Amino acid sequence: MDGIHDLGGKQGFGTVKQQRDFIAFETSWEARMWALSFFVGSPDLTTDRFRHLIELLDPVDYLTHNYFDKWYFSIVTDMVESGIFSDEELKSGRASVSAPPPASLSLAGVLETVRGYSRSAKREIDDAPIYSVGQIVRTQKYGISGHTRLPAYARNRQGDVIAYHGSHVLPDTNVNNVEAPQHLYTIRFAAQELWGPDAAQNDFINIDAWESYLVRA
Amino acid sequence: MPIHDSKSAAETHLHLHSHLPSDPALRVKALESLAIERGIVTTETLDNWVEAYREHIGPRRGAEVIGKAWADQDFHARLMENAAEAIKELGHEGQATGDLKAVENTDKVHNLVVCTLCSCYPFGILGISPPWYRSAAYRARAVREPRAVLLEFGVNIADDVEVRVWDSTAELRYLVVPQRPKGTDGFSEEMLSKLVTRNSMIGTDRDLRAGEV
Repeated sequence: MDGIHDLGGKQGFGTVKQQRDFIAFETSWEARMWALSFFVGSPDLTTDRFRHLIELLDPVDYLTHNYFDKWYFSIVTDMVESGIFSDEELKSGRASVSAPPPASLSLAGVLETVRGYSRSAKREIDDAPIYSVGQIVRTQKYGISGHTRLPAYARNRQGDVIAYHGSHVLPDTNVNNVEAPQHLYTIRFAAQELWGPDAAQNDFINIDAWESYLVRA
Repeated sequence: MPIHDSKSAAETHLHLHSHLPSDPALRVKALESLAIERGIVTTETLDNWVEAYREHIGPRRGAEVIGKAWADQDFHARLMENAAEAIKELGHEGQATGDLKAVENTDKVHNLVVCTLCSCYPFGILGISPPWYRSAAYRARAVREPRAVLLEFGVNIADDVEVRVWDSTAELRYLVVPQRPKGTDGFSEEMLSKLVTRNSMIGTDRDLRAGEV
């Protein structure tokens, strides 16, 4: 969708404000939100649906909310939309129906669980890939209204295929928990193709694009 | 299977924004007690989850991978071939590393990683992303004026060096392999890993120095 989240190439932002030291979490609520995000969510909350719910924040909220606060709203909106939590429960922190606690994870248990999160989005499909490495391709001219991962700055642009990655779960459908895998490629664009002749001649921007994002050049 | 309705979700966002406290600390505290009363998770599990990312899962993991790649040619080859598999040798696989790709700097190439559409990051190997990486300014500018952004980080890229920006639009996550600093012959993997900065693995740092041990 043509959302505020699609920030690549937007102008008017100032200097990038850097942080000198490594601090995992700047506040304790951010740390709690990070941890909660692994447990709270409807059965249909795929990573793509999680991202799309963030994209659907009001544009002003999107730009002004803290990163982990956007996670909060993505997750609670999912739970409310799914009918699992009510807004009253979220306000009070009190459950309308309680349930016994699950078994706790030790630190070692957490580390082992996180190791198990190393899952690939790669899937096998029968169709052969249409494009091949070295080929010049063009990206789709128009965006689509739902969740998609072709950035607006890279629409209707010509680039070359520099890598093929097999077929991967398609975000556009996985937002509704349907994997519908497609062939995935890395497309390289010259900065001048994206931004015009003032861009540096030897800057290149690479995106990963599913087959349906591409057309023949 | 329910079909996700974007319009309804946007309305729910607005509704929740007007009904819930504005302070995120209060909202998250209420969410935690609700999740506990509902039997979804325990306080102890959440405490351990936070500790895991505060103390154990962070950029030191990535630095160990780079140190090993510098010291061990065979590991370097495996890392460049399939980073997702190679990092398992160190037990460093985790969240968002299932499709990890390593991209290498040379005298004539500099790599820079961004996610313009959200803030995708290889958490399992670099830990929680730094706030600048998720900032609108970085996400907007890294693809449009990478050299200007790099200069703000103190990285001056010569005209004859190619800049390759990787916009993380799929589940592939990119790990920059910086150049091994000069004067480090005979350094152990551990000594080498101490020279690797977090920013150098994202691409906002380039010239690492042996003297920083």
